[in-house]
Amino acid sequence: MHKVEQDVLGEVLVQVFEEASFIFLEPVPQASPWAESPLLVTLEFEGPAGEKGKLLLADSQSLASELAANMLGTDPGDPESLEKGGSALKEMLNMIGGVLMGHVFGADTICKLGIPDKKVVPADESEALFKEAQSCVYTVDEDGNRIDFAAV
Amino acid sequence: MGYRVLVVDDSEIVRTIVKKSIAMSGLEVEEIFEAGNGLEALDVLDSEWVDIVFADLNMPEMNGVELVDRMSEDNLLVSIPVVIVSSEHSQQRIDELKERGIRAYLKKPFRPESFRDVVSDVLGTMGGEESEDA
Repeated sequence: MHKVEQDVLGEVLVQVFEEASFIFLEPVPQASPWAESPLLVTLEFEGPAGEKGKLLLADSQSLASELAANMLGTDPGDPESLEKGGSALKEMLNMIGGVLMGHVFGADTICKLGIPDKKVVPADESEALFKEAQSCVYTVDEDGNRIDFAAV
Repeated sequence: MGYRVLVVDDSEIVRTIVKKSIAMSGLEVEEIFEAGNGLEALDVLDSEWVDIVFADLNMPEMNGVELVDRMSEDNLLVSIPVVIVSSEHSQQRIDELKERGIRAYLKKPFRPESFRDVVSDVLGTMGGEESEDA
């Protein structure tokens, strides 16, 4: 397991969300409770010397649809956006993972990224997963929607 | 006559983003084909001529590196330019892929103008600026 610093997690999360979806995130010390079961996306990685780890990204299903709308340039209520929320969150974690590997292991190294996986999990299960993570950052967007990001 | 384009990515949303980026680039397109991995891409290439391939790296069944290798071993497919569109940012990886024959590498997330510049540089069609990744 490779240690990923919390400030690096937050910096990369905010940067990629802004560049890829025009959603502006702000780190917060403590997150408010989930209003619904969150969508959890995971991505396994391996560093240049075989250092293995996993990234976790969770947000609400409604924010995932907004994410899809921003990435596709459609309306958030558009059926395409509603349908592709999970796919958008998976791709977001894929992009975050790519940028994060450069920050953690250096731009001249080759790291392996897995295939992102997604599932809806009960709120308490998600809370436990993030609390157990070695590094974790809680953020909110401009509307107060919660996005959690962690490395385990 | 427009260009015939193949977009290879296991993510449907990325295929949609790439197709929209192609439309925004101003490239005159005759047809866009889609594939979810390298194997599906080879099936398309077996029956359809395409002018340019946009491919991801990390895909199930057959990844982008294997696809590039298979295309470079084929006398007909070797001439089709391949642009890798990937979230991997390693310069070492990019250099390796260039040695395997890819024409350009576009890092995700990308801006529409970066996409346009890569297309312009690879196909030499629209008089855009040269891509730094090409």
